[in-house]
Amino acid sequence: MPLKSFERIILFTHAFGRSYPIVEVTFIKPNGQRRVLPLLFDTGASSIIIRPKYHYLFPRSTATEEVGTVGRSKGVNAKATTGKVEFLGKTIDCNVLLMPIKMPPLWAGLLGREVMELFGFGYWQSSGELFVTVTP
Amino acid sequence: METIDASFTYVGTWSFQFGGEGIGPIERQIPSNPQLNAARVVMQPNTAFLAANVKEISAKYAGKWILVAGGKIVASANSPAKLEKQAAKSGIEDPLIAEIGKGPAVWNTAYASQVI
Repeated sequence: MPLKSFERIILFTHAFGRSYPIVEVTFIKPNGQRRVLPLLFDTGASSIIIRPKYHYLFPRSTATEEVGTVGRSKGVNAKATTGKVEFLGKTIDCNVLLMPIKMPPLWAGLLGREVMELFGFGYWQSSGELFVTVTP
Repeated sequence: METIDASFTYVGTWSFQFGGEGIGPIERQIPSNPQLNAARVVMQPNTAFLAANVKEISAKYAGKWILVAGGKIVASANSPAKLEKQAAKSGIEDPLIAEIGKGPAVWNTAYASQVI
């Protein structure tokens, strides 16, 4: 059996009678200011997706991208921009999609696979733990 | 994000007090898991605070933005710009600025539709 080791644990956030894998990600604005956004850990998202109201954190962009979402037959238009994010000590330049999706106030968007590639994760829904290694 | 050594919280309840706006303590269960001894728990106090008090916060700040730092609400405003300035002026490191929507949030996925 393969064995994996992890050096960090992110405990799930409890709300509304359920547990959610929410991770705090720091976004570094073009002027160097740092802002934390809670994001839902979502392996179904290819990149970071943020609600459009947080656009002020990112460089202005006119590029749009059609994004496929579950439950919809047509794609949704999203503004495509980039962002510098810091997560568990790693700083990453990555794509960010500003997309109008309804979410509770607990998270501002979704953490997609582009950032996940730099880490290794072990996901335990029943115990509410997300194990992370920064050296996968 | 700050991390702590989880070895001393092997079993039981982990409680900590946030002093924000009359909102009480938050308790989270840390499961008994031997791997906690070797690993480190990533602390997310601002998100934990939001989660523990999301109903009260949604009722009180619907349609507004809030500035959360140190596990409490520092300020609220109608737009994030005001809070951005306040965070910079106060020298708050890594603040969380969140929009509190009006009405119930609906989260739809392929697996569930939940109104919360």
